[in-house]
Amino acid sequence: MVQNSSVLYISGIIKKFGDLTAVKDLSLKLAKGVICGLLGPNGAGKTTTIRMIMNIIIPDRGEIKILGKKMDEKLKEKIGYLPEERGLYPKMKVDDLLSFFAGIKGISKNEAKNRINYWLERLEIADWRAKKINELSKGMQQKIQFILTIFNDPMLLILDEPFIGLDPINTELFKDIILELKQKGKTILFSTHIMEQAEKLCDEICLINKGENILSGKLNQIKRNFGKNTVIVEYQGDGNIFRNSSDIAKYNDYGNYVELELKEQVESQSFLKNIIDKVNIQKFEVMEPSLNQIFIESVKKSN
Amino acid sequence: MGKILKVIQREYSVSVRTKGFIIGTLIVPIIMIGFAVLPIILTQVKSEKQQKISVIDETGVIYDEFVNTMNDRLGDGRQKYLLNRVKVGMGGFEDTDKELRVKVTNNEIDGYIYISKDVFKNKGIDYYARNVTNLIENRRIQYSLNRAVVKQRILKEGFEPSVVMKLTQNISFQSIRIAEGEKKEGGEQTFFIAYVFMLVLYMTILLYGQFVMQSVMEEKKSRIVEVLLSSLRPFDLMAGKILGMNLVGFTQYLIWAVFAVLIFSFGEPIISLFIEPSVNLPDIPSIPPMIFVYLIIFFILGYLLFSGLFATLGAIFNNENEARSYVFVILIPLLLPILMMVYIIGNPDSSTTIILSLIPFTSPIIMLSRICVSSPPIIEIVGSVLILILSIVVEIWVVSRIYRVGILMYGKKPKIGEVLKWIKYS
Repeated sequence: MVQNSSVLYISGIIKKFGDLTAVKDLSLKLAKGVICGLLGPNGAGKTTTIRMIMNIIIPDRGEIKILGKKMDEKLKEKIGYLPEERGLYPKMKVDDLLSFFAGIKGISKNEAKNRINYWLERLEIADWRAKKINELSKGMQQKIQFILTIFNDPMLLILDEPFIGLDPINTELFKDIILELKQKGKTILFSTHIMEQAEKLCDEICLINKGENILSGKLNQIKRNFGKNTVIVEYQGDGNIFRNSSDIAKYNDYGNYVELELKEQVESQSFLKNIIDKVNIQKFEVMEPSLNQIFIESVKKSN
Repeated sequence: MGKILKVIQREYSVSVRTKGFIIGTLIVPIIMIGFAVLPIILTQVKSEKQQKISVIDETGVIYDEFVNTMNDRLGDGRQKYLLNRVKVGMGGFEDTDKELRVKVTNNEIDGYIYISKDVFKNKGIDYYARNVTNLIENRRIQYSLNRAVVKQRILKEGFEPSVVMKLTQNISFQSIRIAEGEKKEGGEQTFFIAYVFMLVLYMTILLYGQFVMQSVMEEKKSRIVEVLLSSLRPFDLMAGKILGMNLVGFTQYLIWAVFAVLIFSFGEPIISLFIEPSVNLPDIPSIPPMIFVYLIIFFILGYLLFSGLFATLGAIFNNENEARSYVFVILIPLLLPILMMVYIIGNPDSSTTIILSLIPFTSPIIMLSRICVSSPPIIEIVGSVLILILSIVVEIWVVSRIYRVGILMYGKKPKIGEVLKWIKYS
């Protein structure tokens, strides 16, 4: 029942390569119109997971369903996949390359022409369509690669490290398009180890380490659960009072301000009362933990 | 299936535009023309130089007969051999020998022949010359001298030379092949056809196998494999590539065939424009059409068998250097029939040849050459084809598993042990 309404449904997948367990009992459900970040340090099993979703690697155990069905060739046409290792045929012309991919993605000839025209115009590289790939700049090749991923109008987008190696302009451009696709009800799963990007884009996250899911769910929920015990204080005066305070579990001095993590039982309001007479406070802010923090701490804890 | 077609289409249209294909396609007809025209040109221009040879004839009876038979003409009608007789002077043979040697060194003569008076007691005749490596020339001289000496021997024994010559004339001997109960063309021609087809099969399998390997490596290197796999199964990709290349090979065969027909049909008048007098090209060898059918069957099967292996090497390794020693392993069964060619064509029905014509990897080339030179039992031909097809099926099963894992392995060179594990992975 649940799996029928999920665009992506993964249940207890396991993959071993010899002695190494790359993915251990991983489960994940994604609904329509959701952006989910698949996070984890290098070697956590993100790419293996994604390759299993794409049926490139077959899991030893577990089940993967997309739109309620097992992956097959017809289903692949409804998916946009940007692999981590990506490239283009360097000697093919842009037009020929796009037409070839339209063919193997099952887009009809006429439809392909319209879509290729639309995306080439949209990404402002229509003037280059008669050129060979290796005559294009890196940035333009990235645009072509991105068109290949989305021009079959996929229901589910699976992007493995999509922003790696992108220049800032393309990063913004692609981010906008991803958000636009979300608005249209597409589901997007992307892996990254850059937390700032995940924080800006994701509704949900799935954090894995050593092949195991260590944290997953809605991002704002996770942040709330992670506690609000971090405060930022901008002040003038003797900073030693923070260092010596028994209320503080962690202390980070950034020069102009300090980032403090309070002990679990300490309320931020009472802490403020304690320090208000001792230093001249210019700013006091109760922080949500950054995804970066959550990431580092969760990974450390699981190690 | 539709997707495999798209891969075939791309592979084909890219491959026929490569420099390698265009050059390869043009070089063979040029070689064909060369083979047809070169002998004609060679006979036209064959050493235009006259040969000056001095002869010391101590017997006094050999020289005249020798001169009579050395009556070859050059292309322009001049005498080829200018012979002159030298008498041994007062200083004896030693002095004359020295004199002639100086003449050879000074280019006054090309060589000299010493016929000892003991020649009838089986003493040899010596030929001294600046250049004695021209075997045809040597044999020509030997032949004439032999005739002259034999004639003198016959005369000495009191017989009439012309009668003896007539009686001891060589018989005419011709070998005619029998296939399917009918007389076929001469042995030399079948030998030639078998030889050519073996080479064609060997070359095309080798060449196109390597193309497949390079093409797979290219896709690994440009990191496009995984992008392709988002829409294709690894098997589709491999199959499309191999079949696409096969089609390219056919295109090349076709172009060559057209060239061959054109050369044989219109070659003579065209060549005659450039070379005088007009020439006669050899006739189109009359090859039984069934042999062409077998050529195509064994090309397809042999090509599939080997290109699957080449595709796998491409998937396992990152570049040709890494793959080189393994390419050699694949080449051994392909090379073996070529190395054993003389034996196989000479013994097309020996048990070794029969076994080799059934073992996949050696069977395509060997069975084809057996068919060219003899008529192997139909059961053996069918058996060979069936074993090949079965091997290809098994090979595809193993190889597509290795391929599936291998194409996603980048960076370091894998060990054989790892590759064997890949078969179990998927």
